[in-house]
Amino acid sequence: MSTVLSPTSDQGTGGNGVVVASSGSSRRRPRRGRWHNSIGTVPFLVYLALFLGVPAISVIVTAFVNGSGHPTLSNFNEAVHGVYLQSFVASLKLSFGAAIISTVVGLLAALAVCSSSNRILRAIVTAGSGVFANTGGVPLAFSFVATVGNFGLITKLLSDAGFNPYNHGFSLYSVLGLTIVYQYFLIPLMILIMIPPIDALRKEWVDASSSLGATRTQFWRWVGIPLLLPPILAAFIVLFTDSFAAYATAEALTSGTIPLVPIQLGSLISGNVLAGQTNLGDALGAGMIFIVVVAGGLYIYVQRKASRWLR
Amino acid sequence: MERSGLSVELVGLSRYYKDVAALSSLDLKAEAGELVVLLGPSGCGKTTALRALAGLERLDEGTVSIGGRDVTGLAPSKRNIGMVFQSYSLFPNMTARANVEFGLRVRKMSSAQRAERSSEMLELVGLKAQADRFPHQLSGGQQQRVALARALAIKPEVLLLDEPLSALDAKVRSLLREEIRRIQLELGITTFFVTHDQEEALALADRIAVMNGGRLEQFGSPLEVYSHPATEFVAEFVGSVNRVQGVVGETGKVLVDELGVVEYHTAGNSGYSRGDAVEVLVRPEAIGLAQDPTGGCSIVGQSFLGASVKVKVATTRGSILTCELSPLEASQLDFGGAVSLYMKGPALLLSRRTGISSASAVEAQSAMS
Repeated sequence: MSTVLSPTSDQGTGGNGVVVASSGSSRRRPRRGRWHNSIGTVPFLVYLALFLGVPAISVIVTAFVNGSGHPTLSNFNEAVHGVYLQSFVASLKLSFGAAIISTVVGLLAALAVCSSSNRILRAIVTAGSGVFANTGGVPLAFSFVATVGNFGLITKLLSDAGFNPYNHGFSLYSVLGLTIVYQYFLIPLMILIMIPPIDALRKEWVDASSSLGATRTQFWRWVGIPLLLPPILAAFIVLFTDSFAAYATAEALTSGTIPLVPIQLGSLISGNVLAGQTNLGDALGAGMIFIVVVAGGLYIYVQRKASRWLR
Repeated sequence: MERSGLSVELVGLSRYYKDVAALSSLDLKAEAGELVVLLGPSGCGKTTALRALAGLERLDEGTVSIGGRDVTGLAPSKRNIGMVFQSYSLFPNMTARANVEFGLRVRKMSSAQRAERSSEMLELVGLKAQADRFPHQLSGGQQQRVALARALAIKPEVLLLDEPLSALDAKVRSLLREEIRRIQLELGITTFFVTHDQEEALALADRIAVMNGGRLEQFGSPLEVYSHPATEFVAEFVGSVNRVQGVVGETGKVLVDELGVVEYHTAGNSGYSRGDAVEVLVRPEAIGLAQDPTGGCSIVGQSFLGASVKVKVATTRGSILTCELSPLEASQLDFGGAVSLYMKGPALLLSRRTGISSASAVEAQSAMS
C-alpha cells in the first residue's frame, strides 16, 4: 500500500468521540440556560414526589413500626411466612410466566407488523393495541368468564365437540387462567413498546449485511437481536411489573382465592381480614417496592451490558 | 494489492413501481477497473440501477452480468459486491474493526486472518488507530471510511457507492473523494458511484452515465459529457448554460442577436438548415466580456466564486446572460461602464424553436446576410 489517509484528516466534523476536546466546551450551554429548559418538568416532578415519593417513604417507614408506633421487624417476619410468603411466590410465578409469554408473542407480532407493507394492518394493530393495553378490571374478567369460564361460550363449544378443558386440569380461576387473561393487555403493551425500536432498525443495515454475504439469520444473530436486546429487556421489566402489580382483574376473576400480593395487600388495607394490620400491609407494600426496584436495577445492569456501544 | 476488476454489463434494465418507470431499458457497460458515475437528479433511477446491480432491487426486465457471468437471478449475498450506502450504514453495536470483519466472519475466516485483513483495510483508509471505536464515536467522514474498508475487505469484484459523500461537509467531501479515487485506482476495482453532484461526477469518473426519468441520456467521458452534451437535459444538468435565440446560417454557424455569428459543432447538431429558428445553448465560460463604450451591454451583477467570477450582463435585447471570467479578467473590467460580448468558443448545442413565424426567421436571415 503506497499511501494512507491521515487518521485525523477529517476529525472535528461532527463526530462524538473524536472531537470531545474541541467541541465539548464550546457546545456546553450556560448553567442558567440548562435550568430554564428544565422548568417544564417541575409540575411532573412535584407530582411524582407527592404521590409516589412520599407514599413510598411512608409505606417503608411504617412497615418498620408496630400498631403502637414502636420499631419492629415483626411485620416483615410475618410478611415472609405462611400465606404471605405463598402470595409472593404466586405473584412472582404469575408475573414471570405472563411476562415471558407476552414478551415472546408480542415481539413476534411487532416484528410481523413492522415488516408488513400493509399500512391498514399496522394502523389497526396499533390502535387496537392502544385500547387493549389499557383494558382490565371487571370488564376484562367478565369477558373471559363469558367466553372461557365454566359455562362460557367457547367452553360450551369445546364441550359439545367432546373436549371440556375443565375436565383436563384447566381453570380460568387459577394462576394459569390469570396468566392467559393478563395476555389480553400485556401482549398489546409489548407490541406498542417494541414497534418504535423495530422501526429504528435501518434498512441499510439489512442491505449492508446482505451485500457482505450474510443471510437473514446471520443478520439477526449479529446485528438485529443485539440491537433489540435492550428494548426487549426494558419491555420485559415493564410487563413483569405491570402483571406483578395488577389487582382489579385478579380480584374480579378469583375473588381472592389465589393468594397474590396485591390482593393480600388490598385485604389488609381495607381491614377485611383483621382490623389493625395496616403495618403488615405496609410490609407487603415495601416488599413489592423492593421487588420492583430489584427488577429495575437488574434491567439497568443488563441494559448497560447489552448496549455498551452506546457509551 | 491485487487488481480485482471485472467488466459489468447492464442490458435492458427496467423497473416499474405501479405505472411509474423507475428504470426504463437501461443499457450500460463498464470496462474492468473503470469508475463509472451514475449522475442525475433525485428520482432519475440512478440508485435503483445501483441497487439492481447489487441484487437489492427486483428487476422487471433486463440482465446483469459481471465478468461475462449472468448474475441476474443471484441473491445479493452471492454476488461478491461491496457496497457503501449514503447514510452511514455501519452496525452500531460493533466497533470499526468488527464492522470491517463482518463480511469475513460470514465467510468463516479464522480470527487471525480476519484481524490481519481488517488491519490492512483500516490502514488503507487511515483509521487503524480508531479500530476499537464504535460508530457513534467516529465523525461522519470516518464512518464512511470504515464503511469503505468494510466493503473492500471481502475483496469484491465490483464496488458500489451510493452517494457516499452527500452527508459530509464540503472539505471532508473533497478529501474523501480524492481518497476514494486513489484507492479505486490502486485496487483496480470496477466501481459504480452514484451522485447528483455534477462537480463530483466530473472530478471522479472515467465515464459518466447521465440519467433522467429512468433513462440513460448520455454515457461518455467527463469531457465529452461537458463539452458535447447529447441532449438539452445533459447540457443544463452538467454545468450551466445560457439560452439565446438565433437563426441558423451557413454550415456550422448561427446568428445570435446578442453575440453575433456563433460557431457550433455540426456533429452533435445535425438536421438544421439555413434559416431555421433555434435556441442556442452557450456555456458561461464561452462568453467573453470587453470594455466597450459603444457595446450597449451593462453589468448588472457579479459573484466571486474563488477560482472564477460569475458576471450577469444585461444585453441590448433585454436578456440577461451569465459569463464566467477568471478573477484576472474580471479585475480588468470597469463594472460601471458599458461592455460588449464576444464568443470565446463554439456554442454547446442547438435546439429547434417552435412557434416562430417564418416572417421572423426570414427577417433574421436577411439581417445575417
